[in-house]
Amino acid sequence: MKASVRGIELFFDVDGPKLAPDGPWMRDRPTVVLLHSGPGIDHTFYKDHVGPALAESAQVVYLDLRGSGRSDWSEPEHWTHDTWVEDVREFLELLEIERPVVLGTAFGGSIALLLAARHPDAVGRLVLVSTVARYVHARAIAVLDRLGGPEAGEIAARYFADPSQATFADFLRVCVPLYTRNPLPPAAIARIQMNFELIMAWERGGARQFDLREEAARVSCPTLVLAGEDDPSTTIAGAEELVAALPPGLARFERYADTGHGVFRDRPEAIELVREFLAPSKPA
Amino acid sequence: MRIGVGDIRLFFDADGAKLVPDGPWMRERATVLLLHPGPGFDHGLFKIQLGPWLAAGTQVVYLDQRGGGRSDLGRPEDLRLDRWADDVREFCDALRIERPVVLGLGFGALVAARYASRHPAHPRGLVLTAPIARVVPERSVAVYERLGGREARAVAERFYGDMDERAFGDFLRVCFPLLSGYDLTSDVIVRADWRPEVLIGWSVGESRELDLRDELAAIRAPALVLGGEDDAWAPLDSVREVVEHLPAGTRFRSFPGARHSVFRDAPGAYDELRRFLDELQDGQAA
Repeated sequence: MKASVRGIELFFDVDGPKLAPDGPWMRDRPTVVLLHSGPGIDHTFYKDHVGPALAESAQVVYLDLRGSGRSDWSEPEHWTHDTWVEDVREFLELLEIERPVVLGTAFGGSIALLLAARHPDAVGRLVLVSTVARYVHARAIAVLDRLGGPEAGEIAARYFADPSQATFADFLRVCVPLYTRNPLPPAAIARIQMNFELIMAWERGGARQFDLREEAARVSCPTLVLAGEDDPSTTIAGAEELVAALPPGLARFERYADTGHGVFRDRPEAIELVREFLAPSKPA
Repeated sequence: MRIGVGDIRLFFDADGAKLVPDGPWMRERATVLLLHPGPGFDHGLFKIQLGPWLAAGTQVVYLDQRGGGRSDLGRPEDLRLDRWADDVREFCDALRIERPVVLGLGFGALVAARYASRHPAHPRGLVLTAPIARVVPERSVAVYERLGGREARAVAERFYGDMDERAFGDFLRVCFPLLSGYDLTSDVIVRADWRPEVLIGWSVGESRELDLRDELAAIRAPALVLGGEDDAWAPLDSVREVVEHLPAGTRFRSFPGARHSVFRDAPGAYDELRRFLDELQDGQAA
């Protein structure tokens, strides 16, 4: 399905009903909106494990953000955090999705966090997976160095210094396989509709400017933060920085040893924690 | 979720992903839009069996039709079959649902038929479960009597005659339970978010002049018609009448002992539906 939002069409998919028969009632189940990482990749990587597992107890809404997947790609000048956040807010409003749990991974986590900080009424709960307050290249290079040796660190340094098709190709070949212990199957990568232009634009611009620390302090909903200690992309140091920027006592922070980017690929069982964290938004 | 259609908002629910991983591809599954009986009822009865069964292989979309469930009531003058039918089309357009398989039960099958005749290129397939082309009271009264005896006959006659609130109450008490092989009250009514005035308005209003026979020939989508041989709402002769007016070659099956709740009462209906969906899928691949 698609929704018309702010002059463009956003693709979304749904799994699991909102209302389920429960004795004499129709019970309202929680809604979980999944925001993919990237930007420039799409919702499909949630379809293997995370989405189906959550759909057992919630209505799962997969959303392709502007510029990604099957949503309108729009124009590069609209590829900004402000636009992505307002797109999601209006998407929720259009479909009357009230106070959902918003789960975002990496880039998607930053959109989820900004949505909760700027529109506290729009978000019921927040799950931030492999999300950092800002991208510090030296931290990523250090983890890649540790996991893949000096070659990996050097290739990453070259890519960060000059994001281009050539440096990205080396980065994909040498560094991306180090993102997780259990490698993403090639078929799962093939399923992603990539917007290469957006990936490059983000690496040259958005990723460098972005700093969530100030706005993180304005989040007020219950928040769960999941991070892998061997994540070379969104590093554990970055996750610690994010948790420190959230209001004291607000977040539950779970860190996983021997775990890479996206957490669930290496720790499928972590989804149980998310399921416990889902609470019905209101009685039927 | 709800979405704006014209001047109102319609509630819908969904189950089963549209796109599923399949090797290096995302495979697109069919969308099946379910239209509930009524009018004035809601989608809830489909949640018990049919919806979850469909969601294993398709994306199921449950719609609360105008005037029922969690959708808006809208203007009273819009509670008519043309509007309900066009709502289906406009609802799909609002969510970019293309070429759905539309499955209607009872009143929902009437909406599906009217929609398919007004928008012949839109549906990929139609499943008309317990449809009628027109209300023929004596056919229904005869089935109520066969199932519920003389009291049911008398109550049904008043329902189709000069119905008042008392007659409607008697109908709910005496005749309504005869529409299903299981306990409708505990399974459907108790969970439904329904507006009796919409059902009454339809029953004493448009339903009495309804005649779909001529327009059924305009339907272009492949159709499957399913009927229950003990259904007082859609008596077998009335279901056959629908089949006779649909394009030749329409698949039709009726089930002995099945009442209005065809899928609950006749497991064989699932086999027919599976076959129909598989054939639509193959047709698309060809």
